[in-house]
Amino acid sequence: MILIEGLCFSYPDGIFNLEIPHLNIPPEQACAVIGPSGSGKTTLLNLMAGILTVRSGVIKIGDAAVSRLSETARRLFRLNQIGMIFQDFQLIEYLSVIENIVLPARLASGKLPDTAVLDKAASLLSDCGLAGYANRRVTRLSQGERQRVAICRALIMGPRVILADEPTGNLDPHTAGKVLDLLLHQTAVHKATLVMVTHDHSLLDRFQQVVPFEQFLKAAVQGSDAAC
Amino acid sequence: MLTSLHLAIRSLRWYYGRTITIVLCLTLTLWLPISVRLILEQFQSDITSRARQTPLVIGANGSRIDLALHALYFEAIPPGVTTMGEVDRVNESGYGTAIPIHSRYRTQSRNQVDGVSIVGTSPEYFEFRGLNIAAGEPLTMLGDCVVGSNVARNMQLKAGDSILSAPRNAFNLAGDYPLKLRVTGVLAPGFSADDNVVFVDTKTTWVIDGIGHGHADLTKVQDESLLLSQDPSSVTASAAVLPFTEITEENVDSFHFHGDPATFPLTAIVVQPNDEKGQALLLGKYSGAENTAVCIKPPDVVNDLLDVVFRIERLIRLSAFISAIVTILFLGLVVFLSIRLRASEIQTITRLGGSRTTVISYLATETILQLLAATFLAIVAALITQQLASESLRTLLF
Repeated sequence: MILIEGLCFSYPDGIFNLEIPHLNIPPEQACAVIGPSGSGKTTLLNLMAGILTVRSGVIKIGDAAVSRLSETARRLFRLNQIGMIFQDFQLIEYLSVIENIVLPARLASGKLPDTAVLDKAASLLSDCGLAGYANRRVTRLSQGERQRVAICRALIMGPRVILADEPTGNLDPHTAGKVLDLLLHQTAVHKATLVMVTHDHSLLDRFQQVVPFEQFLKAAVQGSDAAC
Repeated sequence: MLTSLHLAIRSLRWYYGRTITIVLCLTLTLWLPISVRLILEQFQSDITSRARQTPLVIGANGSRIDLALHALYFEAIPPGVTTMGEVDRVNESGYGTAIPIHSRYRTQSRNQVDGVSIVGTSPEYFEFRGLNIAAGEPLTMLGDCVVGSNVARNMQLKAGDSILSAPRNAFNLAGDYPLKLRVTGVLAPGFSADDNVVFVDTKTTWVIDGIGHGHADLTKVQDESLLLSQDPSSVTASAAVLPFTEITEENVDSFHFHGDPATFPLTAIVVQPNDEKGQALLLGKYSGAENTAVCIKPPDVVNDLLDVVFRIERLIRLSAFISAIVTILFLGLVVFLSIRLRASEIQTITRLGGSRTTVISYLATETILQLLAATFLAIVAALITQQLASESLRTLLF
């Protein structure tokens, strides 16, 4: 499903270089990416999502070579094929729960969400134990509830890949476990591939694949000349 | 577009404190120049229409502006006076009809309302201005007055009431005495300066002036001490013989004037020329340096005055322009800080797949909505201000 070959990336300020010679994540698998802070795990998710672009190498998701798409194509690909979940939820506080969930659909169409989208959002809310929360302000939800809303938002477009950046990082262990269970379950139900960055090693046994990130991190160097 | 509109509306409602502040700043910035423009247009319309209805005014040499404003609004009293002889001169010329105006006195205050101008004129004035009696009767006798609609309302006057004239100088014992004026009628509203004054016959103003008076018949007095000397042809009375301070049906016949009526004073003469030729000839007649009176065209004087007013407006517009620049800079700073504060929200939209165009459109929609709201409020506020201020502005200027 996700194939990375000869990936090479560095930021313009040359703080670090990321090199991934080869990485393959099969379809419908749950893959955990672990590694020390600053090792480039979030950067890898951003490269997969097409938010950042590689210097060289290829990132393929399904048949699409994300790394070779134009900016507009990458954006549309991200909207339609990738669901994103963030550590700090990144919900928009002035929108209600349902409005946050259907936001990707609105951004994709530029129109009011149709009944099918609203029905799907209601169904996701129900599946995530948030039935009756549709019109609540997200600022009135607990941390766990907010992350569940973020999971609903990631699933609304029926993505093939879900990229989760430490989604349980701000949650207590009990809630973190419940949120992860929900995320794994929903990913399986929707037949999506999950790539999740985490620091919590106690959760790793729930993933089919674990990618230790230290192997990809080249020593931090200054200056772009040293970059790949 | 709908997405941008939806996000913008929700955001404006959520950050309502910021929204209200920005809208109020923009409203105030827009309100000032719009209000000034509307008020001045109203003012220009008022003043020019009355001036256009008053083709020529004759008065003593002096300030043309004072003379025009006096003849139009009875407010600025010209330092000099012309005479009744000029009225006769115009009427005899056959170039137009002269209407005398004599307004140097005010009434005493009444019902906690300050005194208003007493305007002495002839019956032709009412026809000339299209003034009609709404209640009561027109002027019939010396000492009668008809009051403007605002005067009647503010001073609570009606036909049958009376009002006193105010002496111009309280220390001039030999001068004018207060005269009790009998209200015979109330004028219908004309929405002009005529609503704010008391009209009397010119002879009544000359009585207030002391030129005419009435007193007891000295040939029939019982008290000899009131007479200083008496012979078959004349009687010299002592100062103890007081003139009447009220003109009644009983004493009206005793009122008489001393001197040649052609020399009696007038503060202005409104002239209605028969035609353009008559107007030109009258202007020419009074253009010589040897004339003690001057003939002016109020529309020209008012245009000169408006030039000054609109020069002031240009200053106000300049100041409004500067404040608009300051507001735009302020708004720019607010938008810039707002974008920085909302970086996370904008980043979320971008990371989910929203385009840069969507973000710009969303932020622009927010700004446009605030601008539209401010423009609407500014126009409403300006219209209210126009209603409230146009009359006050005229009072302030004159």
